[in-house]
Amino acid sequence: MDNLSQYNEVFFEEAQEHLETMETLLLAYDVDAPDMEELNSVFRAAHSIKGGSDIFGFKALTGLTHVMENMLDSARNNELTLTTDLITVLLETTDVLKNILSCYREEAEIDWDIIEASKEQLGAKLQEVTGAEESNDLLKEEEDPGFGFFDDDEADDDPGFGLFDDDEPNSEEEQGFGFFDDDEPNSEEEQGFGFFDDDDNKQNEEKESAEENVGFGFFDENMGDSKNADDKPQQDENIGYGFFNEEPQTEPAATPVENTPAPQQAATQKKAAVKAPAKATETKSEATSIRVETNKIDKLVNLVGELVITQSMLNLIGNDVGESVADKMQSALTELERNTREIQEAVMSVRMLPISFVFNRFPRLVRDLSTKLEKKINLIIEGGNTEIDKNLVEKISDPLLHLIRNSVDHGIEMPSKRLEANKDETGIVKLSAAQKGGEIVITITDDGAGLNRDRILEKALEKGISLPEPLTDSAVWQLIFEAGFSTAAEVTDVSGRGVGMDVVRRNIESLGGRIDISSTAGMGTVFTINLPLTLAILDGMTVEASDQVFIIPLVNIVESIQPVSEQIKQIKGKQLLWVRDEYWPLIDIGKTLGGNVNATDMESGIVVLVETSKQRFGIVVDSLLGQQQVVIKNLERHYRRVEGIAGATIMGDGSVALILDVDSITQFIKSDL
Amino acid sequence: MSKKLLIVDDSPSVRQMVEMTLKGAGYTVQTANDGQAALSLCKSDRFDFVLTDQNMPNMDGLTLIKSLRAMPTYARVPLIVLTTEAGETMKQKGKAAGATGWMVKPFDPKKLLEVVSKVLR
Repeated sequence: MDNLSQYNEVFFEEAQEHLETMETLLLAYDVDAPDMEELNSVFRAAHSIKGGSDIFGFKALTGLTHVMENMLDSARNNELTLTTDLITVLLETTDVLKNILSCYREEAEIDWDIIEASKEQLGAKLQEVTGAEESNDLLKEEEDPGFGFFDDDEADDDPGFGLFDDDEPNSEEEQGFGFFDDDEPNSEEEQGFGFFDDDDNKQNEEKESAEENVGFGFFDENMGDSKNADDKPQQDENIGYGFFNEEPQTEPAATPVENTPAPQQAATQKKAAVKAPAKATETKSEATSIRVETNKIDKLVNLVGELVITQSMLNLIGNDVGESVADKMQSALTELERNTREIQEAVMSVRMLPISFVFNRFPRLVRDLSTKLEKKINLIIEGGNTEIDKNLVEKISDPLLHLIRNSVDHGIEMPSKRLEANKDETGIVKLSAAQKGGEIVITITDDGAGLNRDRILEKALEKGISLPEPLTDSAVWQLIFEAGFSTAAEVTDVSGRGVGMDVVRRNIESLGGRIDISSTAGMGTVFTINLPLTLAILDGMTVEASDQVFIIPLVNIVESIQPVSEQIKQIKGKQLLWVRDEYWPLIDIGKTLGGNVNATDMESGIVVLVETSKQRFGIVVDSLLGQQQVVIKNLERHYRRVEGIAGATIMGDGSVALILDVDSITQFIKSDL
Repeated sequence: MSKKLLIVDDSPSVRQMVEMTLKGAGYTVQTANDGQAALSLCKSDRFDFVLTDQNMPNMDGLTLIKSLRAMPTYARVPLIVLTTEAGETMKQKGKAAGATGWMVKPFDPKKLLEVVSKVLR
């Protein structure tokens, strides 16, 4: 019953969401025209983290959020104006909170020094802004009820319940709680509650003892004894809840004490009453959503993968079924195939998250970086609601972070330089995402100086990197992905363009994606990342070449043709296919990958025309076997990366087939034939 | 016939905790994530006890209590407001709104059950 740890995960998720909400809203906060609704939302987020962390015993979060909450509360009550400076501090505090949260999540040591430092920093900022008196007041409220939860080793002055008076020195001891039992009027246990009962006519003997030791009080309209009023705060320290009750209570009672407003309330006036919070900006439809652990979903995805394989097995068997049931069997199989596909799509969509999960981190990054570098930068985000697989979300985040740092650090020039070049002194970094066919395309565009071709070539020579032929711009740009390549005049602590770019490319490729660069001197640079929509299953065309089965992703296929001899041209000793009014280079898969020495006979073979973002070409195969969904099994994990191959899959008959990576096959075009 | 309780809080983790605690003690529990949702639940259903958080989007706890007290069915139903600030002002307001009592966050499950059993006695 007392074991609260079962709710930890829910709390962590929730706190994480609140922190992200806070960060987003703080970043968007306009100090000149504050939006009260947003401020309220930030306040509520801090408030919820505080309340929850306290209940679930994550104390490190409680104290800090409490100070934060006080500051925000003053702000929303117009007692304090949030300056850009304060927003920065609040953002830093949010960072600290995030760290604390992940420490709790990973059950790591909490660094209390950092927490204390943040508290002090918040306090110091407040003092700057509001003058000492105010901030003391705000910070002092830390000693108010609301935390310091049954924790004997915490000397928080704070009982955590029932303080009726702000300016009351707090008891130093932690109270437990207890009951008003008839036979225990002088209980020293902490009281968790109190009753305010108008019709109380209990004897007075209990009064003193109850007031002094028990720590609860009853309030009655007809009491006005100043002595009691003096005692009152002391009792109240220990109360965790109370009743305003018009009906007689059966509880034993102490003397009612007058609820006098005036004197003590002067102090509480500062602490403004909570106004009804404005309508929340975020609309969480909790009734229709449910949190599910990702490993459960991953399991589902794996099962669906198995189901797809089983279904293709049945399809195979179905071909050999005897006449009598063949028709029935076929229609059942068709049905099964449809259902399998629908299940698969449904399960996949469960794992999809809007890419804003990743994008939302960047406004903060750009803000901090540009401040540090004294640049003026405006970050534009587009297509944040494009959905990508959760696994991709986690893995794409670092490469993106690196690329954006790059754009800020090396892409965008200093304001003075920009003005010299007749550009707006504020640079623009644009981050956009969109779904195109079976791919997600993410671009990072900056309107900075562009890549410097000569410097890159110079560097490449210096590093002894072999230069590509022909030396086109795009080939030169690709050089920056070489390990240890950097063109930064001096390597800043932000990033050296090229330091880690090889890692960026590797990460993206390990996701089955690719990255391209285009750049114009003086105009800026665009990084384009293409990622497969999901990592697990694709629609493919099964083909045969040199007695091997290969799978070509359907998204790349334009059409398949059986070429006639007139369509096959020889140009410079290379075979090209003349179709659709253009020449298509050809790749003989059997020869290139299947280890077949003899080229496929073009006239009996079939050419599958494919296109990638970079080029179009034809893949020569012996025959087409059919179209099916395949489960991608990672080749790197079990073997190693093979050029031209995206992965492997298990066919219905149990054999393994390789899935072609149409993008990386293009490299064979030059060397092949 | 177990007693029907309504828990109103915008924090899912707190809501879950309170709900499980009370269900464990044999009460029937329903939850709402803000005052507005709670009010519509109360209009169609009768609860024996309402425990509401104060700070919530759309409608806060005290407004909910005021609205409930205005309904004949809820004139005498115990309504407890959960608050992190048990200052004088808050309590005055609670009383003025017609709350039966208040309970300070944080609380642990034991204390919660304590309050509920006191109220429903």
